[in-house]
Amino acid sequence: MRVLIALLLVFTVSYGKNLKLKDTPPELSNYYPPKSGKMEFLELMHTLSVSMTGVVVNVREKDWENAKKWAERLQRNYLRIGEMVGKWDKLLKKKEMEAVVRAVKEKNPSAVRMNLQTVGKSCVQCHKNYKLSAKVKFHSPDFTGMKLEDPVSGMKYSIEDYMKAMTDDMKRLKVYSIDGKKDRARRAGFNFIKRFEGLTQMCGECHTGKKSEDVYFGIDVEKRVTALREAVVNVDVIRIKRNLNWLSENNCGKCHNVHETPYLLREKFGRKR
Amino acid sequence: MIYLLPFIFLILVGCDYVEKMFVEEDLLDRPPSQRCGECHQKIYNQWMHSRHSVSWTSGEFVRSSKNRTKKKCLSCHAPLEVLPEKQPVVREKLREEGVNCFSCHYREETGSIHGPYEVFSPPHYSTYDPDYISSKICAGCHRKTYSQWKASGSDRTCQNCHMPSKKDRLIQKFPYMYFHSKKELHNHRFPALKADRKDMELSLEEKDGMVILRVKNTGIPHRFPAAQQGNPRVYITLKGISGGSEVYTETVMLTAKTGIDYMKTKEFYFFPDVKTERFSVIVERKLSYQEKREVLFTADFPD
Repeated sequence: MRVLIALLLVFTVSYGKNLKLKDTPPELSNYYPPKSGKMEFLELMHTLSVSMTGVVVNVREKDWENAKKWAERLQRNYLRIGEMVGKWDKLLKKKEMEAVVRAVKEKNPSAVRMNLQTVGKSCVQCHKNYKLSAKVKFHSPDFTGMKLEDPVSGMKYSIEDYMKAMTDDMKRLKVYSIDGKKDRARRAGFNFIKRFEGLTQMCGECHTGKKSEDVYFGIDVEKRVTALREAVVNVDVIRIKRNLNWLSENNCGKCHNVHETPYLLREKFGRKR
Repeated sequence: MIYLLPFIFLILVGCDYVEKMFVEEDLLDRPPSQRCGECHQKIYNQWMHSRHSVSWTSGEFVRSSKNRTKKKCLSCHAPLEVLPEKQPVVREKLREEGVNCFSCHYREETGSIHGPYEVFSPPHYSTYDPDYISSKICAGCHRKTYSQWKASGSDRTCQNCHMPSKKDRLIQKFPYMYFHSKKELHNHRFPALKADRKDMELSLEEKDGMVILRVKNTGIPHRFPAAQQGNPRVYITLKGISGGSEVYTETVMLTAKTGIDYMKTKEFYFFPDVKTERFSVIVERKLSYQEKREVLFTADFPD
């Protein structure tokens, strides 16, 4: 029985997955903001995807003239991957890509299909290795080096320090109000509100549309902050809890759900891009 | 007889021909603003010292637009044509000039320079346009401030406060300077005015160990502070004074999101943990591009 349990343990441990994200080659960042004014590499991916469909549909419909046009476009852009990111050049199936163009010119559908599948597999393999990393690094907001002015101390804080100071205020507010320490609860509560409102210096840099503004500091949030302020003044434990809960669910939670996971993943890649 | 010649010439060729004769074609092709400055020197110099002239190059814009890669920011920082209540499109050339002369004054539709005066201007076609004395012309980019101003019901326009005027010549180049009489020359530096004591009603109440400061915005017909995208801040500091020395100080910060709307009151709570004889309130601001705070006004309690 002991042996069985030991074997089961080893078996379970050996199946524990170690998730890894492969970092993208450094040159890739040249084709995304802020180094590039547009998402050049993503645009290339879209062009390739459309070209691939162009070849497939035209071969299926035996429209060889248009199939040739799309196959050449596909080849041209496929080779650009290697020009843009040197490390990926050797992963390209250049011969098969050449064979696709040739097969289209020879009007040979089975040769087109066979070679196109090999080219497609090279795309799949690369996406499997790098797509998630590229999404995290280039498609999520970059908070690197962002500083916030702390309304309580007047100093500039990193986002982590600011968030920590704010949540410490919130926890102190809860503790002191439950413990009946009115003055301390009020001070912690008002510092929390100052810092919470102070977050508007950050969100407004990207969230310019009315709908997203409403989430992070719309009329409902404002009403809750006013209600929280009153509750803090009166050190009303129930109303403090009710309003804090509302803010956590409807404001803090929403922002964290959207931003925190990609932010943490991005941090794993380090700050250099 | 010789004096009649110009009139005879005019009758023969027509006024339109004479007008075209003096037109400097390049002026209608959105040249660099310096070209406008050759005649409109005063306005050009004012603009050179305005935030409009650095809207594309300012460090704050470059930083917050992530090296100008946030596309939605670009059109107001280098607009092609500013039209009333319409968001402009970004122009391709001379972006480094930011909001330049042609952004606001040249209209493709008429191929002429628009402004608030009916003037005779041989080097370029001119069109009198009442939009230029209305806040609507600012609304395409300063949308939030415009809607706050609209909600205020104030009859003071953006130009009344941010383009103060004095009688002067529109042109400084000879002989064009004598083509029209002196007019109200509006300041193209677009000063961000400083709020002062008379713009705010302040009252202080001590209650249950707290000090409640109430601030009512009675003088600024938009939020205090206001911004479309920038990050201006207002700081309200309460200082407690006892025995002639400062024994307590605490500050609250307002952003363009949490500022005080026109004719609205905000309450600020302070917790002086020491006994004080009197209080002093200091109101400061830090505009988006400023590094340091500047004092707007102070108030003492009791007065």
